[in-house]
Amino acid sequence: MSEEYVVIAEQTTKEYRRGSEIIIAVRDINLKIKKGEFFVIIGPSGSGKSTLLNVLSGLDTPTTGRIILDGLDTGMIDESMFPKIRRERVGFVFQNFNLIDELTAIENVEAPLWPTSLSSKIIEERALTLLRHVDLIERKDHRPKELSGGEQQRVAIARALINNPKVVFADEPTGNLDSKTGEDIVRLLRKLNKEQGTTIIVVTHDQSLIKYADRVAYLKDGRITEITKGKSISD
Amino acid sequence: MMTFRVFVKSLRLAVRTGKRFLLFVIIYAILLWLTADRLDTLMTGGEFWPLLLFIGSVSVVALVYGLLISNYRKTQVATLRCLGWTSSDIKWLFIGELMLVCFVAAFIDLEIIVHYLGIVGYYSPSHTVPQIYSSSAFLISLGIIVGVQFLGVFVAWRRMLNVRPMEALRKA
Repeated sequence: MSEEYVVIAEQTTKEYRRGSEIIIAVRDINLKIKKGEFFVIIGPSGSGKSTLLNVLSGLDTPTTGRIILDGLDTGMIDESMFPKIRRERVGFVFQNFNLIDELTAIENVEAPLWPTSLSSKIIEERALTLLRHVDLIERKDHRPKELSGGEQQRVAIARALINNPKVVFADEPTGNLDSKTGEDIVRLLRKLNKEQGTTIIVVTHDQSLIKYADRVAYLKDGRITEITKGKSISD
Repeated sequence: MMTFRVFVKSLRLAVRTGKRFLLFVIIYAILLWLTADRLDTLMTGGEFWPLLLFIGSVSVVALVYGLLISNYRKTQVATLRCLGWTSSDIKWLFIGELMLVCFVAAFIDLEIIVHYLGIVGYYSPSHTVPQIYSSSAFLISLGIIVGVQFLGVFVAWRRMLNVRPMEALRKA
């Protein structure tokens, strides 16, 4: 039943052409990620993690196979529909935080909803609620440069959640943080996953994240070698 | 409503870029002054080519500004695309910044004119003021400069169309 799953990958392969050479970044991926799951994809550098994230999130199309994202086959959707899908169903958390330097924390959180028909008041209320959730309400008027790495990532998490997405894709969310701050960020993601029921898919090389996952997929040379249960630690 | 909101936010973004914004405001203020002055001369029987030269200069500056913004905002645009912004939403970011620069430059020119005329008028024995250039020359020049800005907007926007959302995931 596809309704139980928020992301399904079927026989998915992604190839790149580099000059005359064809590079297979990920191959024969079969995955079913359940709604509300905290799913971690782990693998060493160059194993195809980011490519897999791009493909699963609909940022890139697979060369063969198909991806079903919240019931929609990404290969069958018109290109012009993707912004709407991203705005309504998907959130992203980046390794480099990717906050806009000229905007304050609250403006960064609000930004995904600016081009929508929601009123500014509703957008602000949502942003304030999320900033409270990530414990940054006191810092709402600070610009990214005035925030620590951990605080910036918390703003980025709030931004990823402002559209109430079905699924949040996090690309190495702890990659630019020290281990203690990284742990705090994963705990926060886990907490939001538990409280709000948002599916979270984390791509990382950091083994310490495994204990928070419901399930872990191990990626090596573009293939999933194993899928195991995580320890599902909540805090 | 939503386009207007993006436009207003783009003005805020532009002002907060600081040095770049200030630099281009100064450049546009000078170019606007020179264009209005040449246009005024042309209206009173002067030559046409100096005006063309300044319009050409404004075009080059608009192009450079457009390229600069598109370069500077590349990661931001990729991120905004990941967050669900369309190409049209992003276009308003550029329109906002480029238009604001023009109008702030015009405001600065007007401020300078008012103060200059005030000082000259106050100290001249007959309390008369010289004419710098006519208000119609100023308004037409502002129209030309604003029009030429769309060249910059177009260049920046075309470059942004090639920015794929997944570029936001690139590691620093």
